[in-house]
Amino acid sequence: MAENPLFKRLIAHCQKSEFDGESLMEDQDVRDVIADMLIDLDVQRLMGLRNFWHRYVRNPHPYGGPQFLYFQRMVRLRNSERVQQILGFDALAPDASVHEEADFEYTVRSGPGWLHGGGTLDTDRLIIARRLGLGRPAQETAPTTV
Amino acid sequence: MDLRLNEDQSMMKKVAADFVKSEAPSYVITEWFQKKIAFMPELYQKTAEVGWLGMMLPEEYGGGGASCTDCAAVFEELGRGPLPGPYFSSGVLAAEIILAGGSSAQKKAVLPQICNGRDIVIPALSDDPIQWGPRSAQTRLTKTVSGFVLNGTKRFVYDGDAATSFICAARTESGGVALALVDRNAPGVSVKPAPGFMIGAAEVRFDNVAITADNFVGDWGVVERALLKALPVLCAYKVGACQEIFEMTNEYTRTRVVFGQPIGRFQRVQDHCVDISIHLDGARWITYETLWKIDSGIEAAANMHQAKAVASEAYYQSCNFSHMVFAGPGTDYKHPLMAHSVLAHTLYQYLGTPLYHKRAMVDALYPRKAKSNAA
Repeated sequence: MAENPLFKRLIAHCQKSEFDGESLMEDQDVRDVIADMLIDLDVQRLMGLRNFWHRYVRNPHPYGGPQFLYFQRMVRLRNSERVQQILGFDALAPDASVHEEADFEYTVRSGPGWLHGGGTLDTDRLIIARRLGLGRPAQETAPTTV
Repeated sequence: MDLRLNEDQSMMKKVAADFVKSEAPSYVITEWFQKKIAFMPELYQKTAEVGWLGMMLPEEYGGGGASCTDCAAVFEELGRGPLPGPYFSSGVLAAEIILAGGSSAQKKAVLPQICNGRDIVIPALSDDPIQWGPRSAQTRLTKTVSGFVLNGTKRFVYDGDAATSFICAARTESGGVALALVDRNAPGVSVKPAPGFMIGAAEVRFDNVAITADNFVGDWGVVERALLKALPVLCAYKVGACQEIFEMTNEYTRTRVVFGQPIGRFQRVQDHCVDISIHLDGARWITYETLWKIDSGIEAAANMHQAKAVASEAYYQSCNFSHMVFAGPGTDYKHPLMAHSVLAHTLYQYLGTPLYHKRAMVDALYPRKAKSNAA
């Protein structure tokens, strides 16, 4: 579950950091934030898997692409807050020792930025709505792939 | 890699869909929910004849030897109804509890009766309206000269009114939890339907109910083993319900015209449908992955908790977003959305809330360190 570099580093950080003589990993509030993060990352992973499979069998999912993109943006934004909830100021301090994929400060800084790269959230939602045929007699089809 | 259902599963799913459409169309189910009818005996017998009760049980006990995914394919369609009744609580959960913890004699006596629909065995596990887990079993089991007695009240037993017998979780004198099979007509057992914004729940009281050692089915560990196979099936039921809400809501955005155009043209309305799609697909794929792991013999305790948390939340939130689209008409008990809304609220609590299962998921993945008693 959630084989994600950022998540793994966060768990490692919580296991070795202590507050009031107790590992952060033992703190129920921290564990609750980790649970939400884990669920989001797993849903994101499975949406990606689903899309890959649809492409693999040449049967495009009607709205899978924009849905994945939209969900990924939202997860990145939510995770930027979650990382700060757990690490506090440490989440805002640059740490050049790791690759940016698992860097806490990069995660917090880039969360809002990911919202608009390659189209805004509203663009994603609009494409999903058109592919669902909301308010329209026909659904727009997803692009076919070779 | 193949994410499709196999041919048999697709066929079972289609049979279940046709069954719901012909035997319990949406307007009929809506009426049942309006009148708080949670159990239709004739319909229950028909599902027994089709082989959906105890379908995961081995054939020697009258079951179908089906996999979790087979069973989930059927329950996904029952959830689209949503068909109320003890199909899950007796046909899946109670059956799995007895299979996991019952004696050979109990299995031979009870399981075939569950499969043919003559016995409806309902797990009465938690005494608490909020909490779930072994601590929530507070009914007392006391040893007497001739055997044991049960005393306590389970305030919200899902499908309790349909029961012919109960699996009662009780606190022993040594502090453990024991499961006991109790006949509904045994002296001291009383059942009262629970009114309110829920369906199928009943208060079950045990007043000095005498039982013997032959009634015991095991301890709380048996419940946990049974839930590992049963809960993902319940999640599939909720996924089916979310799918129905999703399609019903999308269709409404095409047909409801306001200010000269279908409401689906308004981006604010579109947003609600997009949010339902996110909840639906999250629940669907987390559930499917859990089912695949269980059927493949891969450790799935954390996935099972994750699926229950995500599917319960998805069903609840899908109803909420759908209410935002349907507005006034959707809050009428004559509207199919209200059946889903009532059931989503009931199932949110049933067998543990999302918060309970999220915590259990993290505990399964990262067990807490045992605290030292040294001061």
